[in-house]
Amino acid sequence: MKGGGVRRILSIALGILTAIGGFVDIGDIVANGEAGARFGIAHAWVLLLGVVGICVYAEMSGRVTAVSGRPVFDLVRERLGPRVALANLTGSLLVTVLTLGAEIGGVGLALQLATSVDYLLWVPVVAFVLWVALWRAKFSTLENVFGLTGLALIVFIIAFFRLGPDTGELWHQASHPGPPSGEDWGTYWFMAVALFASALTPYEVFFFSSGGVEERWTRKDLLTSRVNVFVGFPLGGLLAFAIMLTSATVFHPLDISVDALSQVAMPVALAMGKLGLAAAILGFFAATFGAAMETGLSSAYTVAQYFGWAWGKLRRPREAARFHIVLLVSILVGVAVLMTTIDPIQLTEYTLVFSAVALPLTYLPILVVANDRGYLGNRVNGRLANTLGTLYLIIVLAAAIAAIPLMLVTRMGGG
Amino acid sequence: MKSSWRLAIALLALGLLWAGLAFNLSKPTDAAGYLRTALQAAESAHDGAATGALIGHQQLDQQVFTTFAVSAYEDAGKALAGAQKKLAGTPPPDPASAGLRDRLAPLVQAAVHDLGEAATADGDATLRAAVGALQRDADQLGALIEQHQ
Repeated sequence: MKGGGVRRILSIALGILTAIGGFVDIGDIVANGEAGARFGIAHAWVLLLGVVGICVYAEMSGRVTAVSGRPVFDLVRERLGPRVALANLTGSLLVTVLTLGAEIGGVGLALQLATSVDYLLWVPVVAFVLWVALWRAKFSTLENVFGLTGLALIVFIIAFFRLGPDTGELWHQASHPGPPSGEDWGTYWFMAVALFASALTPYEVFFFSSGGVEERWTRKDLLTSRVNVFVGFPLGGLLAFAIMLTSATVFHPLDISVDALSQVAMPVALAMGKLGLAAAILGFFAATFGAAMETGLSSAYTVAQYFGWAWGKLRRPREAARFHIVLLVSILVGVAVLMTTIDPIQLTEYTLVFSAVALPLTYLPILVVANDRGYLGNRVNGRLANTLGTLYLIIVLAAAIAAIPLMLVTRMGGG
Repeated sequence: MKSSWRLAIALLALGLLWAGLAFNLSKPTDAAGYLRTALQAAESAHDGAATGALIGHQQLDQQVFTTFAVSAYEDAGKALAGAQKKLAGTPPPDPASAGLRDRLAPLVQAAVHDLGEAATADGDATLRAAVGALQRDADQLGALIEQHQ
């Protein structure tokens, strides 16, 4: 009993750590670095809004899975029918596969920083290693290794304090949201939508829910699920905020825009030298590789769950052949997109815009399923969860409507 | 509504959107459009030059390893190449715009040259000189941007 208790605490602690490391992906790194450089921390509120939003919906997804023993997408198809589920699948799959491409490109860029070999040469290698890892390695091993290594991004928090920031100025930026001179409201809101979308990327909830099934969550694991969500995600958000802060401290006063991964790492090198830089690059690698695994699996999860195929890493690949084929095809599509030589950072920016457009298709069905007593019994959404869920649905809808016009008007945020 | 009607309306909307985009892309640039493009090019060039100077400083202070510096210079070079491409791809519509181009183009060219010097510097003295030059380029580009904003 005592040993079981310790094991449970360790499992929760590990879950939190992996959630922290796993929260940050290429979208968060790029969007926060860029926002910090151009707008200081005038978008801090957006990050906070996004973290609360992902917590609200990830908690619902985790609860649905722990109580029903089934992934959210499976229930969405059953509850809302194949047509609504197909719209959900189409929107989220397109965004997830593009995000997968961006993440593979991000791994390539991280390797380029460490080796100076062009990222495009790394892309096929990364894709192959990713496929082998997803084919052979255990789910929990992958989650723990990359989640924990992603914690190397903590160097951004240390670097921020070592940079000797002008806290008064940063507070002024955070408490007076709006565009600084040289920027306008259009670019400010475009960046806000991109940051919000980076925190609420659709794959995160589908992966969280399917991962719960892979880890055989039951009602007893509700606490684990909630602690992972309410501690892990906000701490992950803190890492993203640290990237914004370091960028705001170094680049914003110099009026330098950030549009390369190497630039995001520079403040850490400035504050902590080579050792800090190495940790930052390791963190980029782990965060993007971990996210590539999550997006790859998420693509295969949603397709397999929609069509009712056998899925998951708990089964032998032979027993879930179609699941693994979708996984492989998703990786190949991601690689093909990168092989057009589109800049991975640009791809990330486009993905965030499309992600914003697809958000309502992902989150409305989750809200509906989380209110169904047939699946959740007395564990359906309470008043708070429904109030927050509805409020976020309105915000998500506004972001989805505004995303494309803002992209066109601001020429992809260029102004 | 019949599905053929829906399809026809969707195709018409798509066609109009396509035509609108084509018109927007192919219409000649006016003075305001040129100023916007030139400022974007100047900003890209400023970012490239200032980032190059920052990497150079970090190299001099032994804060980065060589592989990182190579990649970072390459990224800064891409920003400058983007600025050159933008500037070369848009002809100035009037003499005032041509004047702006004549001021901006040499600055961008100088930044490209100085970044190359920094990236290939074989000693601290050469690197320090290139960093100083890049900083001056960034300052001049910054001043030009401020003047036209």
